[in-house]
Amino acid sequence: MELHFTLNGRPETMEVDGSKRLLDFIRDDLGLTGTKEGCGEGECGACTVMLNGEAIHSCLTMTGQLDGGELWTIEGLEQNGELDVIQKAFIKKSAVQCGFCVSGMVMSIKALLLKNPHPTQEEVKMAIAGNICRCTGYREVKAAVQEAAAAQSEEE
Amino acid sequence: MARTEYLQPGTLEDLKNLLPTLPTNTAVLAGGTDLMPQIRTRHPDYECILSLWNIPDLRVVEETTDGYLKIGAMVTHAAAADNHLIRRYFRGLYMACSHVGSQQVRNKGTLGGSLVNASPAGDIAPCIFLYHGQLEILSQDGSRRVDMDEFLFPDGKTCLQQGEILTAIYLPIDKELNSCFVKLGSRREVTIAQISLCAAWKNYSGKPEVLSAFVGAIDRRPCAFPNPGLLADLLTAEQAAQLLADQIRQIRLKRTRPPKLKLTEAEQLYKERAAKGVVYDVVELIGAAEL
Repeated sequence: MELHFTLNGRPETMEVDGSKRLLDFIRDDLGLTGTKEGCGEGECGACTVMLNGEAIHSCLTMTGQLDGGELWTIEGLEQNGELDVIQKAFIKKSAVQCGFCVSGMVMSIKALLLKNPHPTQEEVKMAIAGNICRCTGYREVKAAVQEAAAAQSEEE
Repeated sequence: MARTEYLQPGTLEDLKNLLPTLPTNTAVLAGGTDLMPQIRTRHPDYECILSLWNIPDLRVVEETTDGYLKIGAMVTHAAAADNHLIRRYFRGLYMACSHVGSQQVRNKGTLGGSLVNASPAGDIAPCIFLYHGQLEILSQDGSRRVDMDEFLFPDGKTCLQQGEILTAIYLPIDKELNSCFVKLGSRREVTIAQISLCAAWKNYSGKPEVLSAFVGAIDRRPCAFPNPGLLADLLTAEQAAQLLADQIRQIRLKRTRPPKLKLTEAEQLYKERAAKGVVYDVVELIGAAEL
């Protein structure tokens, strides 16, 4: 099928197999390997990307579902050589250890802050409940979200 | 292996025209949260994928002139949880949708997909039974509406035939009706129900009267709670919990097929023992709503 979509802010048209997993399309066809495969069945959240402003599992999505949509991957967050406020906050709060879950975690938080710039701790917990981290834990991640929300407010 | 054809109609009319042309081994793609893991583990050789993803009419939530709330089958759990009409008239459904899976699953998974997948542990089906909902089914001959009882059979299978698509859920609006939903899982979030319980009640002269309640995840399809009136008062909660435990035990004893998982005796009895928890949660929610 002919797929029309926006990739990290750029319009794209490509001939694709609509039934291919979006995760494989992103990693293999687009070459964007920041999106990771963990469980492959929607449990761990490592493959989270943003489709039309919402966090979704790319492992549970077919590429055809992207048609007419807007896709953001972790690679799209850096703008003009500068990291996103969430990425900076992760570094500042040491919310990264092995890093495998981080791109999915960051995309979940990006979707949260787009909808809700001042989330409560409970809302942060709900937003990242589907992103599993087995080394850093969640305390630093939650602190990074509050840091990012504050930095975002200051920028506005 | 031959490449799978991917069809993604943009309107209901296009969908209807496609239905008679579909090969027998076609998979219908709604949100994908159930279909994609199934493809990954079972490797079914689908000739065709029919995606409902880009049909805007299937995402509409609206009041109808005959007193129903029509919820498009492709409304996601997140969209349902955010919808003011669902929140106002069907609080139990809103509560169920708010806690399905993770945020990523709620953003993709659809109410229609949940009903068609018909998992015994699904959170949506008990609510549709509770509200006496109807389901709209599209085929090449047109649309028909069936009661939930006719849609989901006691053996857990749906009435959908080849070439039929669930397009909408109709819930009768009763502005006096209040409702709630609770579930007990192995963890607080991102959990699959071990038992779910939803109840609907009205307030008569300052006292709640529970009219109906349904239990999910204890049998192949949701079961009516034996005596819903007992859920209205903390004084009768113990009796209600005992009734539910008895109901679960009877279902377990009737089961002839051994469980797929190797369970210890304590695990086999878990739902009967945990029944008290969900009953008290519902009783407390009803009490709090009527304070």
